[in-house]
Amino acid sequence: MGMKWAVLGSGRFYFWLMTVPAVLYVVVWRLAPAVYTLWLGLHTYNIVYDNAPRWNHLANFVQIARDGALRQSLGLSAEFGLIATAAEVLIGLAAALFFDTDPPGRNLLLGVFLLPMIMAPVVVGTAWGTLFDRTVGYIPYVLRLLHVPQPDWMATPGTAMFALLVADAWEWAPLVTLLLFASLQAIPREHFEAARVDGASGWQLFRRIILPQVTGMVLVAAGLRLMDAFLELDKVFVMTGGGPGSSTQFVSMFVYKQAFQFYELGYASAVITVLLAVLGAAYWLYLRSYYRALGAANL
Amino acid sequence: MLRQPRYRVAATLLAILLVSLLVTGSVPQTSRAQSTTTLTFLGPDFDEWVAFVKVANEIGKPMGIQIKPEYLPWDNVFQKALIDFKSGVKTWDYVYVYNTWIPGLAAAKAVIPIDDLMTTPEAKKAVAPEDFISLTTVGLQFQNKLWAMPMLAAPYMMAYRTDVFADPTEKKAFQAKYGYALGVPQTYKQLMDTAQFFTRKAGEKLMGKPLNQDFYGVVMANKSGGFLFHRYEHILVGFGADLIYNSKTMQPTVNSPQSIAAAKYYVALHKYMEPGSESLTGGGAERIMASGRGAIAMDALDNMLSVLPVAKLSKVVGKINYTLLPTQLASRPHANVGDANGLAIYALTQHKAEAFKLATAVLNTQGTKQVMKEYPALIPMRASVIKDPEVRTNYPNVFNAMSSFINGKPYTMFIPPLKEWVQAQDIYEQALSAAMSGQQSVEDALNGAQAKVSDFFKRQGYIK
Amino acid sequence: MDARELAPREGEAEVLLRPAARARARVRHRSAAAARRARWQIAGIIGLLAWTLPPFLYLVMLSIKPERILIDRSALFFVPTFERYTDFVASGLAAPIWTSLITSTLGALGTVVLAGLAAMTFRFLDFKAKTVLFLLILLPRMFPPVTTLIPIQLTLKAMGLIDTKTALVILFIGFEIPLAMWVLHTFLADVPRELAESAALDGASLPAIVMKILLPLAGPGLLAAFILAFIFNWNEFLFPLIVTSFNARTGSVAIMSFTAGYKKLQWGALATLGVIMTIPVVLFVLAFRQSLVRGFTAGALKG
Repeated sequence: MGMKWAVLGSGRFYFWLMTVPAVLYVVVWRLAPAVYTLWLGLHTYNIVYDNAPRWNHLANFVQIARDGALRQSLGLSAEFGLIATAAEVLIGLAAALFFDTDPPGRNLLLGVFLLPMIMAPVVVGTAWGTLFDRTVGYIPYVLRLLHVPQPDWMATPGTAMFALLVADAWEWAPLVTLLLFASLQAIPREHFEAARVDGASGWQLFRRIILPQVTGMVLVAAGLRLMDAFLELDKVFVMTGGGPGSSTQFVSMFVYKQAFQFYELGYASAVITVLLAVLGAAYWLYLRSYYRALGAANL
Repeated sequence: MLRQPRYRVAATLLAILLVSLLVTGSVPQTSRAQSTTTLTFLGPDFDEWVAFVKVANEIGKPMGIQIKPEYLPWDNVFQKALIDFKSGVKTWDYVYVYNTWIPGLAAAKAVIPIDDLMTTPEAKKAVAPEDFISLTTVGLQFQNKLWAMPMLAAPYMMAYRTDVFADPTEKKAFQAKYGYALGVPQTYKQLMDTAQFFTRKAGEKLMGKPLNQDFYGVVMANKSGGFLFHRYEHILVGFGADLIYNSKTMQPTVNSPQSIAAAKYYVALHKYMEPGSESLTGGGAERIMASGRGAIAMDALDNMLSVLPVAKLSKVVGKINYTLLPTQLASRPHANVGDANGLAIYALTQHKAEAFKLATAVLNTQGTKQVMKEYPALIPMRASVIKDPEVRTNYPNVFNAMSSFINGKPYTMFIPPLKEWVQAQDIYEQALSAAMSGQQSVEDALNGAQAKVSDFFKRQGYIK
Repeated sequence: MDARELAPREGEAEVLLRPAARARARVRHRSAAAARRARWQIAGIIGLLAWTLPPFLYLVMLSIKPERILIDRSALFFVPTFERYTDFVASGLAAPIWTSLITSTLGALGTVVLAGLAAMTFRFLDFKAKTVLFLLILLPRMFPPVTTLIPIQLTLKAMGLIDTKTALVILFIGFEIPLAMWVLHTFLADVPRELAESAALDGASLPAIVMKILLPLAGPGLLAAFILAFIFNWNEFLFPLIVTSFNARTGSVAIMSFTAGYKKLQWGALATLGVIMTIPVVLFVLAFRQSLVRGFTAGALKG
């Protein structure tokens, strides 16, 4: 299929010239430090108290297996990731269908809509943390004006999680919209015309034409969001600090605490190693379905 | 491609940026005359440290020393100092330190103990360690050495509304309800009564006038991630409990009867705090107090002093008094956990002598008074400053609060020099937070935390 | 009176009016559908803005609300104060923001150049281990950066680059290569391979193919990758915090430091910080929304 070396002739030299810098760069500045993390995971190393990492006979991994707090964090991250992804896919799909009707000022509107996912995550956390705040926030205020019973947003496990989910949906539903919008746009308009002539209702249009077209991309978007939401850190940090209790201490928060509050770099690295193994598998599956969906959406 | 206007605009913008980069890049760095020494300071962007830097520059000028600050978020200061030291970066001369950081910085040898620099009589005289209010400076000591020049204490105290406490109708009602006279709480039992008494809904009356907003008995900052435990630890000590473990036997005492009593008390008191206290830091809590919606606040004195008496921020100027914390045990009067901030000298400094000279010059009696001019909420750690007549007249809030602190002889503990303190504190705080939100009973939460701390201590080899 | 008498006889009318009425009815039907559609669209626009904008407006409002009434939620109208913004300016933010601008731009440029070249070979050449190499480049995206701080800091120290803008540019280029590769890869999928192949058969050298054929076609992709890389560089906090101090302090670090942790009053300063950090991003998005939409659709990634 592709160009053969013979065709290129001296191209081999240029090929190396073009590809190697990027590969080398990533290897030196991204992969090598990452490999160091894997190595560190086999050692005890508290950067405050230990002069050098000490080999500890896989004690970190034994501890991971026994660490109840870590297990709880993993469960919470999974819960958060699943619910957030579901919400984002629903909201994102609705918005994508809306954008597909070509409303006036579509591109400007789309630009505004995707602002949340481009701004710094810390700012997203700050905005929603304050909105839900009992003292200055308008969400509890409006509820009070409506005489709705007041939950103590950040003090109740369920509502603290809910607040984080709302913030996450606000930030990332636009991404789902973008992905689905792209694949909706790829549907030839004649399909709709033809179906309308056949007297199909809106719902039937959705079922018969839209859904088959976007299913692949929905899976892709969901996979991507699930992995990223699973590693959510910034908003938790700003909004709940992991509380109340440990009810919003997601796995990234757990790792951050180990590494940057307790300075247990060895243990933190081991946890990251395990996470990477799990996510790596998920990532691989994701990439496969991504390519498949790409083929389907004809991007 | 460049024919399309959008790309032309983008290309032009890029070109302009690149040219301006080249221009700025070619401007030679302005080099100052080398006669002055520049000392660098790594610290948080708190008003008191901005004041310190300003005064240090004034005092340093005749000495040929200037000071250049790098401000970072508070908790990042420690991270940065540590990682820079570990990787051999020599940028710093001064590093801000907080008392809980001392064991870590000392173990890493990232700062030089002040004692190691007090080698001559003159040097000792410049530090004048006998002048320190040891109640406040103990926290900066570790292994019998002082690790930083004391700069600012932050004793935890109560602020209360004088107008509300002096109101005759309130006094009468309180006497009728509780059978004793309304006053500044001396015990935690009294604090609970008072907090309950003053918790009112909008529409109810306070001092005979209907409230248009809810009013809270006691205002606290309960955000997870350190704030909660930092407020609660005083109550823990006031109930006679250890700070998480017995430092002689190294046995964790998270579920000791005293600790459980303290936690139960705090969970009960939580009902009379402002709703949403779980997401508040000290600044946020004082904001509520400043808006006139609380009867009592418990926080670091300088936190309160930098908000409540400031007209621009506060509706309660002139209506606040500061007093020592209550206690539950007669043997631990006004029990509290000390809180000290200091200026340390970075171990890899290239200007050890100059750094020491300037630090002692700014943080002596005269220099401290100068810093107070810039930052009136400063709680000095030198007795000579508190006794100074100028300070007494110019900063009556500080003088009165500190006099009552010194004369009240409060029972003061400091965070134990346990290198894993932050982990232990995190475990306790999570349990307390879970109990406050009703996820678990106090007993279950603290029993669970006890098991976790014990397990942790075993892993670290402290206990078997 | 008999109503039936007044009505035209049905059959007759129908016969007479059929073609014209049908056409008119169709038009009416269509315009009714269009009106319904317009109503839905307006509702959609309102709904969308009501979902996206309130947090922004709220941050802006908090940032200009006077301190004394900051927590009075009923006070929706007030004389705004810009004191927090002037404080920002006075706190010497110009230099760090300039640093951010320079390093983010150069970093994004470097990323686009390196990733662009590599993406082209990946698209137009088949070679052994292509997939493995591609995955190798994409993999670092999912790596939590916390534990990689130490080796990076040590390397930069050994190179004598601590606290230099060069260090930031080096790091920024590396961070965003996976992202840019992904974006460009998807963009280049649009470019027909035959173009390059026939040019190659005609004897054009690889650089010539790149310059004359691929580069012009990849333009939008390169722009999208550049903008994305710039935004992520702009938002980066942890690495600039550790590897720089005086000479190369970035805007993100300076702005975060301004709120200074727990001691400053919580809401007003934080809101101001949020607004200031977001303004450049908003400008970028609105100016380049077309490319961005394409870039994000292609990349579907964050930093």
